[in-house]
Amino acid sequence: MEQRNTGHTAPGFKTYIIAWIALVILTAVTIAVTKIDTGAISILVALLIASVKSGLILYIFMHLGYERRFFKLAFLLPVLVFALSIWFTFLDVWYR
Amino acid sequence: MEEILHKTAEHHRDYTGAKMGMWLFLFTEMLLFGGMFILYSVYRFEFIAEFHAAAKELDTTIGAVNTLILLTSSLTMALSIAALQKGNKNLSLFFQVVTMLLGIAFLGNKYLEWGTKIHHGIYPNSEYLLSLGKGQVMFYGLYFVMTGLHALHVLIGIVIFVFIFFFTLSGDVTSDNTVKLENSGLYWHLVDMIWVYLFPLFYLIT
Repeated sequence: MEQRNTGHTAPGFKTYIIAWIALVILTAVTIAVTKIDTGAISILVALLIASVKSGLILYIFMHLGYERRFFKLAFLLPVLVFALSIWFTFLDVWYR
Repeated sequence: MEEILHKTAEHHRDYTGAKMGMWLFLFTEMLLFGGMFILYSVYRFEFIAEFHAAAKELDTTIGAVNTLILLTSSLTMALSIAALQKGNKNLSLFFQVVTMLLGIAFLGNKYLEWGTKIHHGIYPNSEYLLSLGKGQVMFYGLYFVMTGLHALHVLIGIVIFVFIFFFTLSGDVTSDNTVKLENSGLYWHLVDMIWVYLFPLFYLIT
């Protein structure tokens, strides 16, 4: 019984290379921003760029953008658990 | 009849099931590192000045080079899957080897980096580190545990690729059955993704 080998159409060489170039540029931007700025803003910008980068990795390299909806929805689970953990931890830290 | 049933069982593959299992495992990995990131942020808020002072000791260049190495290895990993799906086995094997070599280069840099730190007397429970104060001890504790656990994941990834290389060579992983290669790729990309956060949080505190 042969089954289809993939449940989705995978992106080609070109998409991967463009994603890689974007990731390298974003890394350079992060380094530049943290060199110029000081304080809380640079941390926020650095984390924001890191999240865009991990979004690129998830969506293109890890094929999440090409997967069926189930996988996209399932991904919300760890995000939600993580957000709740942050919330409860900081409730404890701030109102102790 | 029995023979047909046997054959069916032999060829049965569950692509979606295999993918689901891998993603579930990756979710637990995300939460494992996520917990440490929460710990990091709590102590960063508590010891703002100390974290800044301690982070100055870290080499941004070596961190940036390692970021570039991991990002490139993610690219070659993705390309090895795409090559195999297009039916080009040799190109896929080539990209798998490049991915492994980049992983080894990352660990080589990590070895040099940790070596320099240890040479300067900065390692968990060292006399010099304990003389610096609580914030610095926390920073370097988190640094060694988080980058150490990450490096362990890179090492495990390289070992997995050795297996996948031989699976591809022997025809267990083929253009028609890439799920083992794809799942190893998912693991590798996750390790890359964790480094994307580790790099600014440890090396780019100004």
